[in-house]
Amino acid sequence: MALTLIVVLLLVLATGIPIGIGLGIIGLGVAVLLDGPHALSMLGPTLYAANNSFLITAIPLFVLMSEILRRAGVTEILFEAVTRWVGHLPGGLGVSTVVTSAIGASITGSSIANAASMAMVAMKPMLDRGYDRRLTFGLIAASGTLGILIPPSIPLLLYGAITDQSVGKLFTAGLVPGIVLTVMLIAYVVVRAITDSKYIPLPKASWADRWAQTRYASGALVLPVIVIGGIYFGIFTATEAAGIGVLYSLILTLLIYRTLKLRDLFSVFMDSMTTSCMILFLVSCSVILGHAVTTLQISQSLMSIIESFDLSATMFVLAVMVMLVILGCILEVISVIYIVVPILYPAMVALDIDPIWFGILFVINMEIALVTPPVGMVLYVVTGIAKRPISEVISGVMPFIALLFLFLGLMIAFPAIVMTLPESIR
Amino acid sequence: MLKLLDRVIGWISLAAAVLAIAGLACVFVSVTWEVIARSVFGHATIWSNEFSIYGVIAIAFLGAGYVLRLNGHLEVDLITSRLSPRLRNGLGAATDLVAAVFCAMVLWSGISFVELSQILGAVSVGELRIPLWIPQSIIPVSFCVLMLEFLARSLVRLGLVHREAAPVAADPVLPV
Amino acid sequence: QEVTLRYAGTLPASHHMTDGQKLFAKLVAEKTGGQVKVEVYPSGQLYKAHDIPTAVASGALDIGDNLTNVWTADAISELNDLPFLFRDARHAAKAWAPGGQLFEAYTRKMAKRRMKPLGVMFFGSLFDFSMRDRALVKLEDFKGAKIRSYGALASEALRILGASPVTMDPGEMYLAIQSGTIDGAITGVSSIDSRKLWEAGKETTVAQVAFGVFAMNMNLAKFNSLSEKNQKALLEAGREAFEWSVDESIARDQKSTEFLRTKGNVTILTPEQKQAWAAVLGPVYTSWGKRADAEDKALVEWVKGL
Ligand code: NA
Ligand code: NA
Repeated sequence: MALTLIVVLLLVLATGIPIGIGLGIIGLGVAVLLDGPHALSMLGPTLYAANNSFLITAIPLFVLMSEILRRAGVTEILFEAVTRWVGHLPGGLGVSTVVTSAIGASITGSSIANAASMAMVAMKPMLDRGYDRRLTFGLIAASGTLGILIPPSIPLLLYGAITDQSVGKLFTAGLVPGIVLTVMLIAYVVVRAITDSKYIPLPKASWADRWAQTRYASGALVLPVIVIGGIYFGIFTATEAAGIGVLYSLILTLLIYRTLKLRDLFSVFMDSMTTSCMILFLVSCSVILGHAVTTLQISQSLMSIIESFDLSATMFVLAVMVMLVILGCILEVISVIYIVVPILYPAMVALDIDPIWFGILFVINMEIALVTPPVGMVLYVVTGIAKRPISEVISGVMPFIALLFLFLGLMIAFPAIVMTLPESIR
Repeated sequence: MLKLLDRVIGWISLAAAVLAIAGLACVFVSVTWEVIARSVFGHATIWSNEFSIYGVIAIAFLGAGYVLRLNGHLEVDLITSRLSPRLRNGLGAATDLVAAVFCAMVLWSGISFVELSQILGAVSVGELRIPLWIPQSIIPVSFCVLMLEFLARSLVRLGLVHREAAPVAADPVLPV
Repeated sequence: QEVTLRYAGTLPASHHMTDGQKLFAKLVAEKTGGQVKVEVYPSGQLYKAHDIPTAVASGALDIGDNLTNVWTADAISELNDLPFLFRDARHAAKAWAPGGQLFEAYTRKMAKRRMKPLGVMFFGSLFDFSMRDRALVKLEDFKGAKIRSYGALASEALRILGASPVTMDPGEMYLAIQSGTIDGAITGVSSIDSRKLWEAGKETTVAQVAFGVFAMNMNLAKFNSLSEKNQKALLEAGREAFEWSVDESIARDQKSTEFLRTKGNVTILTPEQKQAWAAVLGPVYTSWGKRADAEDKALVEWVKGL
């Protein structure tokens, strides 16, 4: 049953119909088959209630925050500062790209936005300094995906909203794995740089220059402290952190950096609105499908399959991971969340799998999905900015996909890496 | 004639989009003000939570028509991008018409929802006790706009209306 | 002819309210000789609390239960939230018994909303406090406290007591208390137990300001389409489920309170302390009174006199 539904979904979506509408039509179709024409009357109420959660409110705010910072060129400011410190080391520019990506990830909830900013800022300097083209593309794409693992994270927010898990806990849980992945990426690029001597290191920056750039960047560096620290130390909720993040970003870019002008604000709001609308519209329509999934009792039939195969929790997690990798190749991330999580969640609870840990595994899978062909939004973004054939970007990303799988394996094998910090909250 | 119709639809969805932007501003102001009111003045507001949720609903739906005009809704183009332009446009027009029918159903359901809400005398759970049919009206209005946009796009795909360069947003931030 | 009715609830499958739903389904099957079958969908899987009234009134759902106060402008629906209107759970049960004045008046109001109450189900104490580091006894204890609230009257009451009401989704409460984002939350002792709030909130105050009463509302047209015999069976099953839920909720609250004692401090308000709170909370009655009609006000007096 679950399989039939997913196949039907994929077939309908393949026609190119907007995904939200496609999910809505299938949901409605199933409901009419089961309940008759009465089901039609629930379209309005269901769509209206879909956004009736204070958590969802955080999404447009995080989008707005990253749009303000992007327009104001904050990534560039960060990149300049980080490069002053590590640019002269072996693979220094690559290390700088990873570190800036990680910092960028802590001020945006989106990997695509993160990868796009990094591609615009770091690609040219790396290529100019003789870095291998494939390595450059792959590194920017892979480190860009940190955007959804390091908090804030829109997929984690959605996961929390669907599963009724604490977003504060999910965000905190993403932090340490995010740092581990950052270190793995740095190690990889340093090893590649040492074995491949084609690149030209940057001249060493003076201490005065380093401090000047860092002081200039410090205004932006405060932001992750406010957002993540504010949530971790319980000063405010995720939604409130997003609101304060927007306020601080406005003050920083309008008054301190002055790289954003008042007249830019309308288009900043317009673009944030269209991006948020795209997400929230899809989210709302998927709730119609969610009803159908419930009434069909798909989760229950899935549970009976698990029972009949006598699947252990570990086997179940592994099976889900394989399925997510496959879905992640052909679907875009938000759709995967809304198709899969509502179906799987009850089974997870029944198997006693920690939902916070699983949420992080899920998001790592979505990082992989963002860079696997044929549908990989980060691949598209990097290709668009590089103006090179997508095959070149794909071959550059391949070793990093292997690295991401290794990382995923680590998080499955050692749940403590994920769980220690969220469990430590005072 | 058809071209004028397409333009008028464009203006309508732009007007709705401006309302959605107001919704975004409303979310920002309510959430931020709530934090400030609580930490600085030591008391919570009675309107913040409700207004931020109405703002989110405005963003989710009122902006949808305009986003469609920008071709900004997520679509799977894995298959369609490999079709010949003729076939692609034909299939595109067909899916647009199906989508318009779906929107019409939501429109109808939304109108009866708003009526029912008045019969139930439903008011918000918060202290403002706002009659819920007011924010709920966003659903029928938005899906009417979205339906019109789908119809207009099908005309474009059938070659009946030619649009000059679509108003593409500078370089939008993508969602995830 | 055979009829299948879908019955949606909002509480988890493990909650006694869900057991009550299942009991109701079993009773209906027995009393109608299997002619009427009730399918139970717990934990909001079919509809969330706020959608249930619309779903029932529109006929998309046959039966749904949710707190009487979550959605309508009718003052009678907010009656349960009037602070200390009910002296204790038994008093609340007496007031809501099917056939009593309150239930009959509620049934008449709901008929205008296209719904037929089959009975009410008792959730138990709804307005206790799980606090991070202070018990709430004297009015000073409320000063400046940020407390998670639900519903309009509860927020109003918190303001009057001197606290700041905060809105958040139930899933966020635990961490918010643990990290100090809020000082505590209003919720029933049974939820403090089941949501493990006691891990974060060491101070439980059993105030019993209000009791949760869930109305089991059926679509009126659907109810009228049933045979008289089946209608009667549904109402009887509703009454029996109600009686069961009263005893069960009292027992559960008792058990949760005992359990919480082993995990932290539990303060139970004395009648005098309750009176001191009630004296301050007068304005809640006044603002409710502005929305209430003469019949509603008479009902309050009737309840007080029980
Ligand atoms: Na992030
Ligand atoms: Na992919």
